[in-house]
Amino acid sequence: MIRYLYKQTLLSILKLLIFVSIMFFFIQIMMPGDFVDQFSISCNAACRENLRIQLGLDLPIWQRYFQWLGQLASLNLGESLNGQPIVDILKQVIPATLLVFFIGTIFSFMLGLWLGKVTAWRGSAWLSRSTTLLGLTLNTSFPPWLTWLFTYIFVRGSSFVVMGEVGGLGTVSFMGLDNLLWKNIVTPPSKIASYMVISFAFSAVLLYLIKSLVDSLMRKSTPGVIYLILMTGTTYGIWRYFGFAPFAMDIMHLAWIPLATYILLTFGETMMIMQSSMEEVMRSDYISTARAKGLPDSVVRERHAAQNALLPVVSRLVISLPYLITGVVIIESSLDWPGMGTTMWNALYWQNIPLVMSILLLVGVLSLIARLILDILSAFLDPRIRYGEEKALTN
Amino acid sequence: MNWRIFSQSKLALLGLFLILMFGLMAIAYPILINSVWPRGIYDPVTGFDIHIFPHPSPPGPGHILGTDSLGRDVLSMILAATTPTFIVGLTAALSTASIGTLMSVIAAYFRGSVDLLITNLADVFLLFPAPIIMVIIGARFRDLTPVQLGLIYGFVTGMGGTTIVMRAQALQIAAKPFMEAAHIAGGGAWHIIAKHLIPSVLPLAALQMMLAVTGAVVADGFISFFGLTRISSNWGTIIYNSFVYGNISGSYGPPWHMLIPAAACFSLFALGFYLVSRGLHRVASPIIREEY
Repeated sequence: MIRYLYKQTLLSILKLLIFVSIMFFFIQIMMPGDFVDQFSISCNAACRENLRIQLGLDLPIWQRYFQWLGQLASLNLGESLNGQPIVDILKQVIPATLLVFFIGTIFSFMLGLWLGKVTAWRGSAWLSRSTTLLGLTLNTSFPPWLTWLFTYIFVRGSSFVVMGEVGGLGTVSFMGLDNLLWKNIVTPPSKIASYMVISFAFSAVLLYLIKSLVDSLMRKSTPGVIYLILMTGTTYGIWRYFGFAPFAMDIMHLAWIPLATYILLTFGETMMIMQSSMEEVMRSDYISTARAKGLPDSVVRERHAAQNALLPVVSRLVISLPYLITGVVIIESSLDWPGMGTTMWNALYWQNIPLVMSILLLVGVLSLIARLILDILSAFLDPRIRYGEEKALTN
Repeated sequence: MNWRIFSQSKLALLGLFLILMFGLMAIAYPILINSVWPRGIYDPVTGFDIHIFPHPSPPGPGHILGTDSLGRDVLSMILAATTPTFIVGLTAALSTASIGTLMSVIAAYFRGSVDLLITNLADVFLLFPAPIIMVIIGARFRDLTPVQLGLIYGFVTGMGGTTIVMRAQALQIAAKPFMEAAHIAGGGAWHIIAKHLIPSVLPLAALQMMLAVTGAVVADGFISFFGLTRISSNWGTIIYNSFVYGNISGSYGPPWHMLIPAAACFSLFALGFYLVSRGLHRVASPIIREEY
């Protein structure tokens, strides 16, 4: 296992390098003009040429590429073309994205698993069929429309920014926060957002451990809904304990719209995969055996069916993970949420190439790490999978 | 027999019905515009009805879904968008399925270093965000046709996700006894791939095709929403126009007669293909399990 992980990590770095290299050339060769062209109104040709020399944009593309790679090799992301260190920008935007997409992924995954399990167990009853239809309709609906509908219904009167052209040069920032509240505090909202994510992750892990302990003691599993409610409660408790609850609630006041949109958009897919996987498992012999033994329905469902149906869902999640970045861009940029997606979209629009590349690199790193974690998780879920042995995988 | 399994699922039948409905819409548009609808009023790009004031106007006689802020008929715009959407979706589906099938079958048959190369390449392609690639290419070549958009999407997803999913299936089939039998009978590599491997993974390819339609249509709508293609008639463009020019925060309220049909078309179109893919999955899985 250790050797497998070691090999996979090395391979991942190689893959990442290929990915960013292709994107580096692809974006710059494909997109017309460059960063300096946006100043053509205030700046004549000679002045623009000067700017290019200053920014190093006059060099041929392969030379810029090697410069950039050299920077990366010394673990330096460099500066954005407007002079800000990229690390600073990332520090500002990552917490906002994680706040929506990390929490949202966990919620939508659990919701999808639960709904998929229940609908498959009920078979083709009226209720389960309409739940399936609802989940799928939400899943296939057009993201900007859904985000707009949400803002329209719940935040009537607030203006809706369609395209994230604002803040292309500067940095994006939280809009609509309560100014009075934030006046006397030094900590920026992005820092509070990162605390919020950390406390959520902490309470999720803690409660998962408690849940598995209780489950093994009681010999039956507690419903996931209770787990979700407890998790939310504990997170809020941590906010109260460390004294940033009012600020966190102020951010949540804005964050719940992208969060809800994201959950509604994505839970359908997990639900469908879980459903078909459950249907397959329910046809197998050991389910009949478990029933013939006289085990209660809920035990058969949770212990025998749902646990075995989980594997395809997890392995399917591996494939849909990288698509997350597209979703992030679409949802964030249609709500102007100050996260990585909006920043990347704006940076792409203004051809701020170092910033675009850093975000793509980060997304690549995150999805490859997630992939490794899921690899380990699926080996944990299915004891038949032993990595490093070719034969075990092919059978 | 396959039809019976397929039609057992009411949802799959609903999906088929939805696709047929959109097919009818695509056929209806050229007929209507050439016979019933005068071009000056009903053209989806340049049409204008001078008898109505003000635009956008709510649904009424003559304009079943009303008009947009530029005085164009909404129904005609929506019908006109059906054919390009079909073309984008189907091109993406065909290219995804053919690339995915070919790559996965080659990987599963030759194993070893070829397999290693293909899986790692697929992992790299998995990282590429297809809609953003479409946006970047669209920024360079403004006049991308629906076929080209579909091909771009199909290539990226076909090399990435589809190859990974189908390779797992192809590996399972390549390990079956009948493959060995084909070897012993003296079948060459390409003969076995063409006659034995590809037919066995085709049901899965059909499933992936349907999923690709959903993805490609949403991606196409996304880039039209941001106005990055010259395809003037798209449901995404209609939604965008109603956001921007439709007095969305004005005193009239949002132009629901534009928003709802366009958004519903998106949902239902993608939903139709998704539901059919579910039905096909049911048909495909017992065959894979029982026949071999």
